[in-house]
Amino acid sequence: MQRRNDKQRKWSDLLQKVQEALGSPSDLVCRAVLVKEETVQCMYLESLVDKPMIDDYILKSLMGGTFSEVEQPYDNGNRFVHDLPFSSADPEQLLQRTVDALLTGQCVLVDSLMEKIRLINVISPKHRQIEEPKSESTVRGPHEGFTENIDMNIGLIRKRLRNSRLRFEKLTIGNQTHTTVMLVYMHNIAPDALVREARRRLRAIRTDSVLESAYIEEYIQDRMWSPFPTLNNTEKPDVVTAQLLEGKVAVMVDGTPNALLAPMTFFEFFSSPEDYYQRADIATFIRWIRLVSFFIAVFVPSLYVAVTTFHQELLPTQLLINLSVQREGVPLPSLTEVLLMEVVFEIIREAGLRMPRAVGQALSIVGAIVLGQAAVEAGLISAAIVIVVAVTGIAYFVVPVYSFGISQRLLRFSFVLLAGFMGLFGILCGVLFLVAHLVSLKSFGVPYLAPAAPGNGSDWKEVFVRVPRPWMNPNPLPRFMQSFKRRK
Amino acid sequence: MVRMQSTLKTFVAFALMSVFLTACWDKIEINELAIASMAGVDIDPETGKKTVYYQIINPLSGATAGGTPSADMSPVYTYEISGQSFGEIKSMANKLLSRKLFVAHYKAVVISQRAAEYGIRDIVNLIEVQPNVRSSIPMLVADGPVSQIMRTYSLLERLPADAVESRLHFLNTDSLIVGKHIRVKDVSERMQKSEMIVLPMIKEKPGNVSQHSGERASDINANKSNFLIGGGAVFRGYRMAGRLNDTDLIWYHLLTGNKGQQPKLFQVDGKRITVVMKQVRFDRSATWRRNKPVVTINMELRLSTGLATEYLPQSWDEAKRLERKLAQSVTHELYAFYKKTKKKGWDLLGIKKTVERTLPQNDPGSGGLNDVEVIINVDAKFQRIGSINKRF
Repeated sequence: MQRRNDKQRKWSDLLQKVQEALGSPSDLVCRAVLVKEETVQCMYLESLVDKPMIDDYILKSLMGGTFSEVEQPYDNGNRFVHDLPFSSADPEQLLQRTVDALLTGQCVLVDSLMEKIRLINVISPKHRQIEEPKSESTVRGPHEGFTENIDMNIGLIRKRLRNSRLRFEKLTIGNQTHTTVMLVYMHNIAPDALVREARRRLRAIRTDSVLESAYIEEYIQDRMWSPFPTLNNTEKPDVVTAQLLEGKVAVMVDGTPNALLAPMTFFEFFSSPEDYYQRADIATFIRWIRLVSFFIAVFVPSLYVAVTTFHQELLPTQLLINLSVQREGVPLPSLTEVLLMEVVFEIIREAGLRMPRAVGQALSIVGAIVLGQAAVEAGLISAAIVIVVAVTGIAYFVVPVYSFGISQRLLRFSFVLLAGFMGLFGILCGVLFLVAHLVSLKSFGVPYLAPAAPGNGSDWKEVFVRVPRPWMNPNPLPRFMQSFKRRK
Repeated sequence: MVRMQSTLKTFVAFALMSVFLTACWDKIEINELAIASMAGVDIDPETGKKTVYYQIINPLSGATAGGTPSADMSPVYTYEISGQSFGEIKSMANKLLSRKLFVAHYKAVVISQRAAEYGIRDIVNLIEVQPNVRSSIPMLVADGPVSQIMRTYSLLERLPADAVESRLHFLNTDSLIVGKHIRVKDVSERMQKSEMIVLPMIKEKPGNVSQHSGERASDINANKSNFLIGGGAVFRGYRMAGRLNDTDLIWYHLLTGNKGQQPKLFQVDGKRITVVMKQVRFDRSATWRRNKPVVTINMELRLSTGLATEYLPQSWDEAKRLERKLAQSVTHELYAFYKKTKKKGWDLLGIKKTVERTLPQNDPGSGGLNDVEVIINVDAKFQRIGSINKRF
C-alpha cells in the first residue's frame, strides 16, 4: 500500500509540475492505463496530436499487451514501431523532457515508477495541402508550392532532386518557439566556404522567436539598411531545386512556405523559373521586358516630374501642347500630383491585398474609376499622371520576385523627390548614389552587381540572354561564385 | 544601434540640406508657360525700332490631336511687342503676356523683307546665343507685311507654324523650290564662311483677312487669305541682296546638288512635254586650265514621263533623242541661271569656295567669278517612260 501511495504521489508531483510548466493548459490530457497490473501514465496535448491514433493504437496496444509491436499508421504511408522499450529517464530531466515532448505533439508514456519515459510522435498533420503559390504563379512548369510543414517541403525537394548528395542540416532557432530551420545544399556543388558561412550565420542567430523566414533573413542578410534584398525567397520547390543545382544554399523554416536562397545578385532577380520552361528566344525577350519594366517602374514618374517642371524643351512640341492642355486648371504642381497619386495607388494596392477577394475586385474597380476618370474630370489631376502612375504600377509587378518589387517602390519615391527638387540633375545624382550603393552590396560574399561589377564577360550572356539548353555549361557554377573553392 | 543612429543623422542632415537646394525654385509648370510656335521680326530701317510678333499657342482651344477643336477660340494668339532692342523686347514681354514666354518650341521664324535688307545678324545672333532656343528651325522672309502673315490662320493644320513647317517639308522632298539648308544655323554657318544662302519667302494670298478662326475654318475657299510659300531671298553678309523666282530656285537647287525632284514643262522641237527631273548624282571639281581655274559641274538626272500628258516618244530612238534634247535644254537653262547670278555678282553656287579649296595655290585673284570658267555637264536618262494615253 505504501508503495502504491509512493507511486501515486510521484505521479501527482510530475503532473503538477507539468501543469505548472505549461500553465495548466486546457488541452492537456492525462490518462492512466493498466498494463499487466502496472499503471502507465499517458499524457499529450490534444490540440497537437492525432487522437484516434492514440486511442486506436497506443492505448489499445497498451491494454492488450502488444505494445512492443505496434503498427503506427502515419501521414504518408505506414511506419512500423518494432521496439518500444521505455528508456530510462533521469529524474531531473524527466520533467523537462516531458514538457518538450508534449509541446512538439508527442504522446508521453511514463512508467509506474516514474523512472522510465517513452515518447511517441503522434503529431496531427495540421497543415494545408499543396497548392500553387499565389505570389509566384506560372503559366508553364510545376504549380506545386511549399506548405507550412517543413517535412512536406523537404519531401517536395527530394522528389525533384533524387541525389544522395543533397544535404539537409537541421538547426533549432528561437528560445521561445524552438523553430526547426533547415540549411539545404548540394554537397558536391555548393562551395564549402558558402555552406560554412551560411551555417555560421544561422548558428549566430540569437532570438526568441522565428515565425517566418523573414526573421531569419534579417539576421543573415549582408546589409541591414538597403532597399534591395540580398536573399531571394520563394515558395516554389522547383526554384529551390534549380538554385541548389547552381551551387546556392537554401534556408527552410518550419511554419512558413517561404524558403530563402543565397547568394543572390541584382540581375538574378530578373530571371524567372519560367524562363527555363520556355523556348530560349521567348525567354530572352521576356527577360528584356523585365529589365525595361524595372527602369519604367523606377524612373518614369521622376522623369515625368523632371521634364514637365524643369526641362520642357526636351518634350516633342505636340506632346508639350497636349500636356499643357491637360494641366489647364489643375491646382497642384506636378510633383505633388505624382506623389499624391503614387500614395493613393499604394493605399489601394495595400488595401486590395488585405481585402477579401470579392471586395478587393470591387475596390480595384472603384480605385481605377476614382483615379482614372473622376479625378481627371474633377480637375484634381491631369490625365497624363494617371497614365504614368498606372504604367508604373503595372511595371513593377513584372519583376518575378515580390520583395524586389517593393524595393522598386521605395526607389521610385526617392527619385520623384529628387526630380522635384533638381530635375534631371537630381535624377542623375540619385542614379550615381544608387550605383555606388549597389556596387558596395554583397550577398554572402558575392558582389551584388556581378557580373557587371566586377565585370565578367562570360557571365553576361546569362544576364541578358537565356541561353538555349544544349549550349549551357553542364555544371553551371557562375564565374562570380567560383572564387569559392569547390568540393572535389 | 550606433550605426543606425549615424544613418539617421546622415538622413536628417540631407533632409535639412535639401532646404538650401535652390533649383526647385527654378521650376515652372507647363501650364505656366506661353508656348510660342512661331515668331516674326520686323525692323524699321529708319528708326531702328524692332517689332517682334509671337504666336502663342492657346491650350484651351484644343489645338492638339487630343482635344476637340473649339471654333470659338483662336488656336494661337499673336502678340506684338516693340522696342529699341531685342533684349528690351524680351523683358517687356510680360507686359502683355500673362505666362512665361517659352521659346524652345519655335517652329519657324519669319523676317520682314525690310528687316532682311537691313540685316539679320542681330536676329541670328539672338537665336544662337539663347540656350533654350532651337537654331534648327527654318527662317523665312516675308514678301509683304510680316504682321499680316503672323495674323493669318492656316487650314488643315490648326497651328500656322505647323502649316509652315509641313509645307516646307513637302516642298523640300517633292520639289526643287525649297532646299534643305534654310535653318537659322545654316544662315549662321554660311554667313560666317562668307557664303551666300537662299531662304524661302512667304507671302499672303490676297483676300479679306478673317479675324475669326471659326469663320475662316467654315469658308470653303482655301486660297482666300492664306499664305503661300514661293520664291527665294538671297542673303549675303547677313543682308538680303535680292530674290529668285521659283524657276530660278529649281536651277539653283540643281546646281547646288539638291536631291529633290521637280516636274518641269519643256519645249522640245516644238513639242511640249512635262518631265519629272530627279538628280541622282552630283559632283563638282576644279582644275587649272589655260591659266585660269575651271570648275566642272557634273550631274546626272533621272527623267520620268509619269506626269506627261502632252507628248510621248514613240520609239527608242525618239526617246534617246529626247533625252539628249532635254539634257541640252537643262544645260542651257543652268548656264543662263549661272550667268544671271554672275552678272549680279552673286556666288550662289560657291564657285569661289570650290576653287579656293581645291586649288589653294592658284588664287583666282581679285577678278573673282570673272576669272573662273564654269563647265556644266548634264546627263539625262529616262527611267520611267510610257503612258496609257498613247501607245509606246
